Amino acid sequence: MLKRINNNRKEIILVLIVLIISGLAHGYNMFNFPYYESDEGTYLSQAWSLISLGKLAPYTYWYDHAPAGWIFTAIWILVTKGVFTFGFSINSARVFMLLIHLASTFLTILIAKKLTKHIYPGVIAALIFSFSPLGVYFQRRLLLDNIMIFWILMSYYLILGPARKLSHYIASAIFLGIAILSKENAVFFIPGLIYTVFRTASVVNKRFAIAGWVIVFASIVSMYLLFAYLKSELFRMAHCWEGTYPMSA
Amino acid sequence: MWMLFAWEDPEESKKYKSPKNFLPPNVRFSALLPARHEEKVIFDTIKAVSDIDYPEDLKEIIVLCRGDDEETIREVNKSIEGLGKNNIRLLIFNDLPINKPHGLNIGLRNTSRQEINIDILSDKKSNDIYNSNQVITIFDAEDQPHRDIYNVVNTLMTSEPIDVVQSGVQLMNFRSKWFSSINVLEYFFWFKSGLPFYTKIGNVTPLGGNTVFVKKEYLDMIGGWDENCLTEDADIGIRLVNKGARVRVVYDEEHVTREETPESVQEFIKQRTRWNQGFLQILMKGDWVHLPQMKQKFMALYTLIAPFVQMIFLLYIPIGTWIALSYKLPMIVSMLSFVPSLLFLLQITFYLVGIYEFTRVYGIKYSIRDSLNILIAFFPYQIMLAISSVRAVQRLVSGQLLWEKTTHNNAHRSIPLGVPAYVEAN
Repeated sequence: MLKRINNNRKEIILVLIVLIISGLAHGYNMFNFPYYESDEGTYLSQAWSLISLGKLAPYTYWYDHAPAGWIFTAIWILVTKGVFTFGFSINSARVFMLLIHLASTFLTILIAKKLTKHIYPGVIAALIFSFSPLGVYFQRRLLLDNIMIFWILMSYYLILGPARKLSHYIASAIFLGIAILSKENAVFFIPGLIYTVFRTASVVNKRFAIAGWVIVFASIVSMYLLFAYLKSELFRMAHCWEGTYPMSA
Repeated sequence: MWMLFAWEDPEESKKYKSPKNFLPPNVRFSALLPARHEEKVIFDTIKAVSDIDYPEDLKEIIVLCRGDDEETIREVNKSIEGLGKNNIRLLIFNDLPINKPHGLNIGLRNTSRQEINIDILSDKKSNDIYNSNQVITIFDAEDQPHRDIYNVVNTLMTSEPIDVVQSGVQLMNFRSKWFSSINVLEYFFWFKSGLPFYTKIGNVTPLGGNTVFVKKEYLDMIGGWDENCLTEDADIGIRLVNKGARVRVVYDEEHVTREETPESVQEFIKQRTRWNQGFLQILMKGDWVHLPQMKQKFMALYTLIAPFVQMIFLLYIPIGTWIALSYKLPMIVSMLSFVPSLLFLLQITFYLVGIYEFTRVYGIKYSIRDSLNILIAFFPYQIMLAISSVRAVQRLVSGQLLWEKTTHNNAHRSIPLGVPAYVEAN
């Protein structure tokens, strides 16, 4: 282990520098810019209600989004001992987003390195990722998409490269499932990911890799549908004019 | 969990293939061939075992029949005369019990060690070496071993420090009956994936009933097979490891021993009941408790109770689903109660892929009907397994310990395959 660190000292220092730059780009003035968006408050209140009320939302949960994103936020709140550790409650969420951004940046470097076998494309990708004005604007906020992207990158990272084992594919599928449950938009990554599975799996385990990958992430996502079904909320139970129809978006 | 071990790491799975180059003959093979009411198949089997490519003076066949089984004895004699070799013998016995381990023990006592020893070796030391090179193997009365299997085992035993080799056994006739394809896949997953998994991860190998090669010194050490046990093969697996035997597993599509599925649902249930009951016997005998490592104990225990776990899961699904849907339970409990169903779904998926994989590696043409068949047969098959588990417990409780034998028809010998069962000499 030490020897490996020694051999890659240059690379490790480079990655650390990129992460520091990325941290500065997203950390500087992060409690003031951009302004607190109402969505941030919504997700944070839902995370809070999970801890304090044991419910997915302080008001009626109406399936605006799958809940994994604020489940992770709730874990963050538990780990950092409360919502007010960093001052105003939303600040706590923004610190969480900074960490997520650093993790995603790190994954971006690793993925680019795996794809090109060189470190510099990873550095460039990470810098674009961190300095993109859209990124600075949106990734500082507590938005479910940021959490989703982290899991998508995890899922993608695991299925890249040679000598992939079946367990890599299964783990990748689990992370994709979590990504979809964090924000449903993750489904748009499925075609690209499944193509990658198809390309990287060896001829020996290709069929099991694809089948296992699909069935595992589908099973995880199905738990969400099951949850709705068990609450008798999967199908509409009555017509809206009868007055018991749940509030709609 | 163990089902996909063979496909986990493509590099690792290569280790379970047969060696490509064979070493010169060194090991001596005594094949035990217990047969009872096998007149339909025994002739072909003796020929197949006798045709295994290996020096005649380093191999022998001992066919074991009971005196009352005249048809089989007649066929055996016909076959021995026809082949005209002096290394095939028929041993007839008349004592009890009438079961496979009893026959095997008689065969073990009668392997021709002494006569050959006197000819070649005199001093005690080389006698010991010679002794440790004597390997006992078992073939069942319908087995179709590969011609190179002795060379494979000889090479493994000569080049690696091992005392037991279990080579793959494969049911082949996957289109004979509605349950055949799943039955075939069970063997496919078990011998290709399960045995390597248990051997590598758990350090314990539940041995199969045939195409298993054991150094005679170890069989002598454990005193042969347990004549009261219905699954004497799994039993010696545990006892051999207890004596420090090192087990090697090999599965190569080319070199598997080919077998056939039971001919009917009744036969299947009888066979599976016997296995399950045997596992329970081994569980109660408690040799597994003395396995040296904790993980070995755990793995052995898991193997022995696995059929019953599967049964409980199956029974659980309708009951659990009903409870989850009709009672107000905490949400998390209700959701977790669906996990076993998802595991079954996963299992079905892997069977669907497995049948394609099976046809691919054996060079048989795949048809979508094979997958549909699995889909339809999966739950009835689980019910057969559950019935067998219940029967096993029932028979054990009521003290019925006799063998219920499986009938054989030669169905596995008529399948045209991409991988040749024999390579005919030109």
